Amino acid sequence: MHSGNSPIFVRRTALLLFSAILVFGTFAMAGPRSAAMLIVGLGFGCVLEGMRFGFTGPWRAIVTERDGRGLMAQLFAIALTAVVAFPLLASHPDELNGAYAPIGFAMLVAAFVFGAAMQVVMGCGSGTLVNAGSGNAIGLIALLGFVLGSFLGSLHLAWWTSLGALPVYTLQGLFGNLGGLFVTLLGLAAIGLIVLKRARPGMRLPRRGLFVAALLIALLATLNLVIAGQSWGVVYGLGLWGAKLVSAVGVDLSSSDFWGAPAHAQRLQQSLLTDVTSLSNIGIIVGAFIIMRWRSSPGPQVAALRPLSWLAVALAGIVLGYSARVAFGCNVGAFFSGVSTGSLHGWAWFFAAFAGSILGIRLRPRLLQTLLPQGATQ
Amino acid sequence: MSSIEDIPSRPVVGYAALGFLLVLLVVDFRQAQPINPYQAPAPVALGSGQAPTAAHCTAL
Repeated sequence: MHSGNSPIFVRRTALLLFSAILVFGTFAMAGPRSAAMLIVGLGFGCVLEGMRFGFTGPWRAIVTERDGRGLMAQLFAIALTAVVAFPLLASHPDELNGAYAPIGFAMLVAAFVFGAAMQVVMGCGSGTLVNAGSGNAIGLIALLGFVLGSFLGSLHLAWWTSLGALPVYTLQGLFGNLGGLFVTLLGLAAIGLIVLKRARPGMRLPRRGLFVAALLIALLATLNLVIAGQSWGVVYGLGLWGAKLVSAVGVDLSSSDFWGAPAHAQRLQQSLLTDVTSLSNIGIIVGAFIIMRWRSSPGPQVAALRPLSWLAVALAGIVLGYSARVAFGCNVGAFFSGVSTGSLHGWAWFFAAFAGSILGIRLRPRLLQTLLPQGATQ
Repeated sequence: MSSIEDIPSRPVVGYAALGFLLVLLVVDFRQAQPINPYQAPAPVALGSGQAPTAAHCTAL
């Protein structure tokens, strides 16, 4: 890597070389699937950062500015993914898993809290990874909090879920494979119509670049499913990172309900280079970093915060991680992947998180008044 | 009270994020079981005939 004064072509060549070394190194150490998942993650990071495809901002924009373009792009990407994922899941049930989870009391509350918290810190699951990789100081602190929070959430997940949860319902199970896809597309279209009605003229349909980004996100999400055998996710990997770090300082997690379970204990013992969610997460961070350094100018840093406010950002990150774990995923694992693979909990997550998001939008100015120095903007 | 000049630039914070990943991978390398290349899964799950073994956010 070179300093900001290096000629840009040297820097870009170094970035390409860096990416190639990462991919080939992963291939040599962990095999072709791991290398492929790293490439998919790099793709996610490049598209999310480079083409400004996100989740938190569009949810805010439709509420505050009546700008529906970003949310329409999300719905478009989910619909495209569903059109491919439903037949694949139906034809290869022994090889591919959708993002299926139960709807429960704690899950709904946690999704609501996640929606509120993501508006306060302006970052969701994927957004936190992208922000950190692209050099956003708040994003990096929030990421560390997210790792800790999702780990802590995993320790309490069984207790929260025991408060009351329905069985796992899928739209395929309720309506059949074709019927489930039809209901999913119908639901997405219904939300799209609400967005179109809410949005101002000129703010209804995404510009061409955002449509292309949605197409690429759908393609990458499908590749994630085909290569990994499971849908795109973020939170499990971050919780695993927390568990790895805690284990490294001598904490025994074998008595934990979650990490003591055979499947999770195995993941804890195996290398992160064999964990598909960790690989895509690493790819997202590195991909966002590459895009930031690829640009001629990295852009301005976020606004200044008072020293104590960094602690508040970290706490918000912990809340994000904890609530995402209890809600069985964030905007990626629960909303995007849940809805696009037919999980009813994905829809419940969306409605709960969007309601929380509205609250978070109202809370943010009040909280940030105490966080930001007078005159600073974010 | 800090000012915007006190916050490291985007490249510096980006390198710090990569540094975090490096620390994580080193810690993992020291405590995880060695990877057995002979037990590596098929390159692509679809069509492999193997059940997915990875965990997801939706896992209990």
